[in-house]
This record gives sequence, C-alpha cells and structure tokens, in this order.
Amino acid sequence: MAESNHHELGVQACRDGRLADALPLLERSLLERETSERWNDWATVQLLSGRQGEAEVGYRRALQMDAGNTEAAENLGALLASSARPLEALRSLDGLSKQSQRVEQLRALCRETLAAQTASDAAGNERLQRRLAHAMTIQAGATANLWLRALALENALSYLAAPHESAAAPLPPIIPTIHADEILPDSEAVELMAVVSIDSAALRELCLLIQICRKQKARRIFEIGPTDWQSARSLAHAAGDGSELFMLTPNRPGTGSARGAQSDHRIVQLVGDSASFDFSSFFNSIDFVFMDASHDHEQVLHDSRAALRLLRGGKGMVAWRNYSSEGPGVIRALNELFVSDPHLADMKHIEGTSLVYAKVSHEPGDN
Amino acid sequence: MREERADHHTGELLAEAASLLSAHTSVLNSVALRLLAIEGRVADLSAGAFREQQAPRGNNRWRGSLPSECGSKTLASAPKIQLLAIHGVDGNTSLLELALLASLAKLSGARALFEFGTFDGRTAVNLAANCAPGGKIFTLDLPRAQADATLLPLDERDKVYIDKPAPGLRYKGTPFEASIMQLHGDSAAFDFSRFCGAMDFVFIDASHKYEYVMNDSRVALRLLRNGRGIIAWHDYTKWWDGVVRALEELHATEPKLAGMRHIEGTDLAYARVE
Repeated sequence: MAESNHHELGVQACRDGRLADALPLLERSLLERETSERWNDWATVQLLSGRQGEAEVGYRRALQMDAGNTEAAENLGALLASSARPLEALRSLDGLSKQSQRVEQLRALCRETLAAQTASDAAGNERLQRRLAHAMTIQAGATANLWLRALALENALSYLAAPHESAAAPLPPIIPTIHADEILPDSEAVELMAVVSIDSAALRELCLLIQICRKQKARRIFEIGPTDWQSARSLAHAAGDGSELFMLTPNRPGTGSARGAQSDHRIVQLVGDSASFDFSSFFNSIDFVFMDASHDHEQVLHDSRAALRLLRGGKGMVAWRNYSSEGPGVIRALNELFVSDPHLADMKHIEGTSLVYAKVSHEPGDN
Repeated sequence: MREERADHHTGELLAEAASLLSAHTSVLNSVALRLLAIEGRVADLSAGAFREQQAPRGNNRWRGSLPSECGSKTLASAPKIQLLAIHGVDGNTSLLELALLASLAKLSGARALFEFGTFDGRTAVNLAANCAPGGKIFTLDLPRAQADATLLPLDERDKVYIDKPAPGLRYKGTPFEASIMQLHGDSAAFDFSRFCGAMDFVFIDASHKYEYVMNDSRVALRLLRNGRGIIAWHDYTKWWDGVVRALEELHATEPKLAGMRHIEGTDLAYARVE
C-alpha cells in the first residue's frame, strides 16, 4: 500500500465515522512520515474519540513541526477555550490572522472567559457557561474537523444572543440549596394520580412536593394560583382521607382541565385573585401552603405574608414555585423574605428545580 | 414568533449536528448532554437572565410520519401510580415518559412484562411498581464484554450505554427487586423460547440500530400472550434515525402494528396489539 494512502484512508475513515479504523491508519502514516498536517489530523481523531489530553499533545506537536499550521493553531485554541483555559488558548491563537472570523470569535470567547473567571460571581459563572456552550458552536472550515463542524450552532445562538447582550445582570439566588435526593431518595416511591400533560421538570417538582406533604403529614392544604388540576389531585391523594385541599385559582374561564378532580371531594376550588381574596376565614387552619401564582415581586410578598397567617398555630410548611429565571420577581421577593423574615429563616431551594420551601415553626409575629 | 422560528432552525441544526457526530464514547455522552442543554437554553437566551442547572427538558416537538396522539388520549383514565428513582440521567426516559409507561402498565393490568435494554433499571423498577400485584419484570441487557461480538451491528452511539459495570443498579435495594429478573445477552441471539406467548407488555429501549429495532420488535410480537398486549418503544426521535426508520416501516408493513402511535411531546411510541 503506497505511503500516502494511509493518511488519506485515515482521513476518509474519520469522515465516515469509523474512528476505530481511522486512528491506526493515521498512526501508521505518522510512522512512515511525520508531518504537521498528519499530527493535526491524528489529534482531531483523538479529540473525536474523547481523548482531549492526547489531542492536545497532537496539536502541540503539529505546531512544533510547523508553527505556521494555522489550522492546528485554531484547533488547539478551540480545544483550550472550550476547556476553560483561556490564557493558554489566547497564546495559541496569538499571531493568527485577524481576518479569520473563527479566530476572532475564539479570542472574544477567551477574553470573556477570563473576565468571568476573575469575576467569580454567580452571574459571571452563568455567562461563562453560556460562552462555553457557544465555544462549541464555533465553526471549523477544514476537512478533519468533523466534531467542531458538527457542533456549529453558531448562527442560531449568536442570532438569539446578540440582542440580549445588554440584558441587565441577573439576580443571584441566595437561598441555601438542598439536593433533591435528600428529600426524595432514589429508593423511595411517591404515589401520584397519573399525569398526562405536564412537562418533566414540573412533574419532578410535583413528586418533591408530594414527598414534602407526606413527611409533614399535612391534612389541610392551600394552593394559591395553580392553573391545572393535576397537582391538586396528587396532593389531595397524598394528604389522605379526610383531608382538604383548597385551590385558589385565577378568575379565568377554562382554567386547566378538571378531569377527574371534580369527583374528588377533598378538593375545593375557590375562584379569585390572591391580591383581593379574603383569606381571613382560613387563618390559623392550614398545614401546607403552596404558592404558584404571581411572578410579581410585590404580589409574592403579599401572598407569602398571607400564607404565614394561614398556618395553623403559626406552624407548618410553605413552598413556592418559579424561583428561577422565569420568575425574577419571585427571586427578588424570596431573597428579601429570606433575609428579613425570621419565620422564614429556614428556607431551602431544591437544587435543579424552581422550588423553595420553608418549615415554619415560630409563632407569627407582626408582619 | 422570532423565537419560534429560531427554535425550529436551531432544532434543525441540532439534528444535523447530531447526525454528523459519528463517534463518541465519553465525548458523545457529554456532548449529547451539552447539546440538549443548549437546546433548553435557546429559549432562555431570550429571557436573558440566568437559568439554574436543570435536567435537560427534551421537549420533543418533532413529529415523524407515525400518527401521533396526546397523552390524555393514550390513557383512557388516569390511574394512581407510584414513581421512584425520579432523577434521570442521559440514557433514561424523561420523567413524563416514565409516568406514561407506568400508567400504561397499570391500566393494562400487565402481570408479565419484558424489557429490552435495562441500562440502570430505572424503567424496570417503575414498571415493577405499577404492574399487577404479583407481576414480574424480565429485563434483558447486553453485557459490556459482548459489545464487540453482537450478531447484528450496533449503532456506535449505543456503546456508551452498554459500557457499565452492571445493569439495573437502580432497582437493587428497592422493595421491587424481587419482582425483577435480570437477563443477560444479545437480543439477536438470545433464546426467548420460555418467554414466548407469556408476556402482556413489552418495552423496547435497547440498541437504536435499525436492524436491532426490527429484530426486537419482531421478537416482541412473539412474546405477547395470544399475540395480544402492549408494545412500547423509546427514542422515536430524529436523533435516532434507526429507530424512526424501523418503527415507521413496521407501522406501514406489519398489520399487527397498524395501531402504532407516537405520544406527542415525548419520544415514546406504543401499539395495542390485538
């Protein structure tokens, strides 16, 4: 087999996705004759096979043999940039033409990564994460860079990201987190009334709420603002016979699907807006209050104060949803409550969800 | 409007990206997760502010040529179910899919269930928790050591799910372990004779290669008691073209599977075989 064939065959195998074949062919070609180009291609196959360390070695060797191998320099830069090693990446990209859009994007990424690493705050970390995701979208031109090309989401992401670069700095979540496993370990089951049209994240939150309800042995539950019946059915089931669940739903026609829930006598639907609803007849009688209503900062504060007064003897459990980017007003309100209200000093944010809950065990003071 | 259009465009780019990715091991595992995370983040870029690390949503707005129906049609009534091991990782079904499978198993009153592809056993334990009392789950997984010697070709991307010390770690130590029987082997070579005609419910979530989905589905039909029962499949999604091709072909050419449906918003397909 002629010498040049091993290299060509190796590259072809890589293009066809037969990495296991490509690697020995390229290694063979390197044994026959070392060139910068062959090292670059070998390194790319290593990268595709998940061996970043070897890939880095290969790209550096390619550059050692030929400092002018711009493709290897760019590839190394991209590898380092996406591994959050911006300083090294910048060094690798040094001297490369400013004309190359890809190189300029990599440089910008590295600068931003550096800034985020030195800033080391929640907002910076998030920007870093977003930028790392963006790094994977940087398009590659050349043949062997199948992986990089395959991750080319650059157009879509920059299109979406561009108008929002000037977005206000996001609010950091300050409430201490607890892992979902501590509330619901893997081996414990929750019972729920089957759900059919709820997304997986909300379903996960429902399972956690059910568990919290059960552990609390809550018998009287008050839900402020849910827009569907699915959570109510499962929570009422968890609370057991003789329990009561009050749902305060917004004054909107056709709120959610009431399939099956109407037959559950434990569930009482109240129609109204928490801003104007008179909670007084429910004061001092509820074990668990769950708020899934307004995203408005003032309204969340108002609902939370009402929730504390609902609790029987001032003791029980309160929980909120939407402590997430979808509810910046909720974040603000809950952060404030955590810091300023002694009854809610025990707040916990369940990692990986938008749920916050707090066990309230003091007598309610003046709100 | 702009977000929807961009979403769709990004979705297409993702599909193209995923299909270009031709090899993997740990790279694919993390890249697939990252791609899913990017897809989830696409919507959030317009919200601007941070988003906490959530499990990828896997919202499947894609539809193939299988007729689709929404979950509320799949389940005639919403039974009470139990769910455990709710945390999902790459390779698992989504929590909604898990709930739907559990509900289907419950409603059908299945007593003998067969699963192709155990992985970590999360689905098996939930099927066990929701089948008829006294029911048994038989789950078949390819041992790591046999990954290079399968009778039919595997999809390269399957290997990361095969590469584990043992299957079913998540049902071990649960109250349902005793109802689950772990089988080991290659579904293209395995001797199914003692299971034929004895199953009520079959779940296919093993190799995503076209040849294997065809093989496993044909076996599934033989497993059903009196040729009747429910078959469900996972990964009916554009990322796994082997599954899509096989299911759409089976739906079109196999009369017993003419009732196959894609459950909207999930990667599940199922068929009631009469």
